[in-house]
Amino acid sequence: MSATPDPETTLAAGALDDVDAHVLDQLRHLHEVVDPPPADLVDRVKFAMTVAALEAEVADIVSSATLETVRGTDYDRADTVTFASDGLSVMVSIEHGATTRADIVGWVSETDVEVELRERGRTRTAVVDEEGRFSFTGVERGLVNFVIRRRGDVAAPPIITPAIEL
Amino acid sequence: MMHTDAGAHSLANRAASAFRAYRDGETAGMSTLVDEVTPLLWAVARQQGLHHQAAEDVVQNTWLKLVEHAPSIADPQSVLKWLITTTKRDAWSSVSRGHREEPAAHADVRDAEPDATAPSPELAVLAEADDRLVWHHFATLSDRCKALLRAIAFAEKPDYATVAQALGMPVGSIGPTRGRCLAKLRHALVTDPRWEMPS
Repeated sequence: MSATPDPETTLAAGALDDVDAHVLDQLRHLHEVVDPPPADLVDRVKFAMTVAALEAEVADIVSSATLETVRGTDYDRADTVTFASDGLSVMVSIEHGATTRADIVGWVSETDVEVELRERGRTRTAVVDEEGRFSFTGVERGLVNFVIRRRGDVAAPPIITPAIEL
Repeated sequence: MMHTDAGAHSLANRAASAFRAYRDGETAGMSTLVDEVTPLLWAVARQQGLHHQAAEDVVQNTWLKLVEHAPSIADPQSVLKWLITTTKRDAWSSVSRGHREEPAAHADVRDAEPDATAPSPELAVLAEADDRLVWHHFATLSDRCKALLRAIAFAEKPDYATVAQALGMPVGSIGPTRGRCLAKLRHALVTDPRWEMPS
């Protein structure tokens, strides 16, 4: 045994090295495994930020065929979803093709509105026809929202739908 | 003062450039920022003693505050610190609204979980023997040391100083020397024959 008084004291005064970095990396990894952030936290944060930035009204999902668990923050594959807010309702139906892209056909209960489709990383806008219909083709699969704006009333807050997964 | 020692790949720098892009009108910058920093904010909120739901609320509110205050953050380089201190402060007030004393190191909810020496749910999810070993030795440290090492380990190496500072850890608690807490853990590992020293 060496005469060094206390190995911990010696170690404590030493400079950080790669072994320390490794130990700390392992500790971080452990905490990430043991207590990870909820899987949908990031998506919910982004949604809340979008709502705040747009000062939008959030529509409720009032019905959905083929999906049982869409409630604000749970996502599932949907075929037909109906949203409603502030007297306006929107129904969208999703046609999954053989590719990774889907087509969306929708109907709004008012006709003087525009519908914005928010995909990951890009947005597109459609004006509804005289029957309130709109469509988007070749939409990348993933989470999407719709933002609906009343064109006749620019002061009205836009309406944003919760995300649905295509 | 800028942390010029933090490398180009440090979280602080990645956060700063994403935030700068956002302020220059690229909305995708904010999305990148949320992806990069949310796990760290989650860890910060949890360390203050918040339970799951409260931690989620605090993290989400921090981001909403950033949207609101974005124009008033003078130096984009400080955005990571701003996010950490906002999360920590709000977590504190959330904890005290819950009529609990100001969280000390021992208030970490993860330490309140069952006896660390008993087989715990944490150990059950750690598949690797090496992970279990590090967890075992970590669990024997004092609460103060656990809190300190967690705070440092939240970040990757280039960010140790930024994160520890934003969390109000004592100056010199990490680097240039390793300090007593890390020394204890390292000594325990090095003298454990089951631990494999990284090459």
